[in-house]
Amino acid sequence: MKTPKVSRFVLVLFCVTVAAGAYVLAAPQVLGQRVPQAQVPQITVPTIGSRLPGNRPQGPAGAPMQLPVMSEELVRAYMEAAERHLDYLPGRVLVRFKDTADIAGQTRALSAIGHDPSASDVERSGDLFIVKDSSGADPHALAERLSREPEVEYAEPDYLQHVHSTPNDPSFGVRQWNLQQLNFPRAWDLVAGGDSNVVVAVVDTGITSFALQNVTVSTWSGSAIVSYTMPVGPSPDFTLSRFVSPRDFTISTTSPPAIVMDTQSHGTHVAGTIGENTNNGIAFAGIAYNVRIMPLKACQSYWDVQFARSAAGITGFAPLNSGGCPTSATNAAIRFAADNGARVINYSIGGTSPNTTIRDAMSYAISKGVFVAMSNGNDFEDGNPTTYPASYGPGLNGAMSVASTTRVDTKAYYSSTGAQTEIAAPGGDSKQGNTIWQLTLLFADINEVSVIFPRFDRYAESGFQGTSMASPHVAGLAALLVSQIPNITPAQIEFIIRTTAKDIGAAGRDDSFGYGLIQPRAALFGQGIR
Amino acid sequence: MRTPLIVLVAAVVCVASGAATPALAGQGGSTQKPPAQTAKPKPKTPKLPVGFRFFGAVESMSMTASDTFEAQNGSPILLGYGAGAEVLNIWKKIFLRVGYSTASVDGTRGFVIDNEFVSNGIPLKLGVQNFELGVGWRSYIKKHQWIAWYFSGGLNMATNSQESPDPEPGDNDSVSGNGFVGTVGFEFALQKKAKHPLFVGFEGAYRSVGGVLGESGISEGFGETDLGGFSIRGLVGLRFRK
Repeated sequence: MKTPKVSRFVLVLFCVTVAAGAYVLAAPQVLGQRVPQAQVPQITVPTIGSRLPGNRPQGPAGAPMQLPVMSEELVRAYMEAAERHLDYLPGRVLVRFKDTADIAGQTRALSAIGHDPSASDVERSGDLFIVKDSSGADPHALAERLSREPEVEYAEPDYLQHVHSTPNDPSFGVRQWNLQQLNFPRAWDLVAGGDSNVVVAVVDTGITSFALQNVTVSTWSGSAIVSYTMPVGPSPDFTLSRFVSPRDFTISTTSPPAIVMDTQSHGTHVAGTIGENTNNGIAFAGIAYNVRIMPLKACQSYWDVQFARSAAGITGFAPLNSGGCPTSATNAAIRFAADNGARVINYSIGGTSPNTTIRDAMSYAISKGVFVAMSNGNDFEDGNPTTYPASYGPGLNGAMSVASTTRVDTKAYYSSTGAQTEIAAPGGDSKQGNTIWQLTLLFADINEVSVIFPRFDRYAESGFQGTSMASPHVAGLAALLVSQIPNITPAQIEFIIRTTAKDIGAAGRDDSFGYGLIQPRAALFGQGIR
Repeated sequence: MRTPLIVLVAAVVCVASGAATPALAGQGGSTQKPPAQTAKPKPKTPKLPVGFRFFGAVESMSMTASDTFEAQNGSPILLGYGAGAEVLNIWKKIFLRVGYSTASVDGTRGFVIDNEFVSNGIPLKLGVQNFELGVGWRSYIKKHQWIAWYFSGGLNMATNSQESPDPEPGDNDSVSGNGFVGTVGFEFALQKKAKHPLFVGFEGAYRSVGGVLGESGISEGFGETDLGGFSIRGLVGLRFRK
């Protein structure tokens, strides 16, 4: 039978559409708009799904920098946590003593569980003690025993929290619909990007805070541990002078190196929403694009664990789920931010275990005049468990737990609900075809499933979703408020954000959206007399 | 707040004592024989001629919403000006009054948090306008016919406008409400024998106007709903009579 011309045209159109769709699905990471890259040679990216040794990327000329790595004991703890799917680092307990406990009392309490505080397995981190236990005892049981000692205020395992986002296919959605939905252009008419004296700390996987250079690490080639020199560079949409006091608390909580390198992409994305350079003709806008960013690395990525593992002489690849954000590191980062001039902290991290240490650290930060925005959790479809530290939000006047909304002001499918939810902001929803776009590390360069020799110098426009992405909207708005009212308190920031929110969902505060969707212009415009 | 109250009380006392003087003088002869009840018929009080009074005024308003206006102005007292007209002696000593006054304040926007105003520095220009329609009673002090005193009461329509730069629709607006006003005042003719004398006057007034403040914004934060308050006015004007 002869095919009519119209039918043939429809058939051809259908084939072209299918072919285009297949291309989009097959190569999601390269469809983002290209942005100016650092001047380094291009490399062949290994095929997704395979893990073949590809060409090693070549970095810029000059002596390579040696990357600081964590101790072997810590590497082994991360590896065991990954292999056993633990939400804590085994062999470690955090202890906080009462203010009234003197050294003799502290010694007695630790001795009561068989630890000699003068030994190397007790490490002090601020007002916390990290007790290392090699006996293999369950840290929960050890913490419970310690908690019973009269000198101890509390003790708990060194919980591993995780970043609250899911990288997503970047070929969907209209980019940065979120900032337009919140009418940020009109908010910037009132406070244009904030004040450079305001510092926002990003406690996360880090933001690369040094100029493009070669970094030498050890890694597993597939057959041997090799020394590997790779190019590492900052996001082209962040001016390095905007970074202040970078610290890596995953290496040490007491003497953190002042070199931060994002090897995961989450921290860079979050920081991008808070304050990516704006009006510079590159990539995206950030909310508080004039403020300074304090990159505080408190989360280890897969690659951090892999490099440290190889440096310790342990062969093979690290488990793919390696990494996380130990309480000892996040606690130290929050306190460092509070003591070093930050006015806002973004904490897009969480877990399902109660975490008194982080609650206390946040309380300390608030007492120092620091507002804290934190992600509410992405576990709605996984039983919607109570998440921490989000659940501490309502009890902390000056910290807010942020839920995630879609482009049409509905709850994102993954966004956790409950009494902890205080406020909502766009976090994207891939099921509705919208994600939050910022510039971050090119996924094809760092994909632990397919890459053996990663590089951390190339950035691409990337769509993420999660309450991790919602929280920096609130942190950015808080930074603008601090810029506008320099002596504002964290509690006042919370009041303003809460009372100017647009009530969505059930009338009044509800468990999905809290007090509603943030309204940046209303918060910055303030109230008249009626 | 206290100063205008004291002035108002003093004014009322002065008015009352001024009015009482002739009566007391009459009582001074109480030991004498009262006049015969069958005396000649009471002389007919001459009908007072209808007159007009026009004035301009400066006004110091101490707002009832004191915290709201103190947050904007540094003080709950607003300075304004106005004008008015009266028709005198429409029936005996009763007069009708129409008055208008306006005041403005340059403040800032912000929030009330824990009963404390937190300014964000965005300019906020406030206006308060009062339109008054009243009826009153007016009399002259017998021995000093160049001094008059009066009181009046009536309706007061108040309008509050607020304006900031770079507004969104609905940000800059004005809202009106109705209430009442009561006034007590003196008038001193500067030209004692002139038919149309120039005069100065002093008034104390109290206004109460609901329905404008208190539903949102800074006034809601302070729980203040009344756009009225006490006022002290200085008047200058001309009096005409037929």
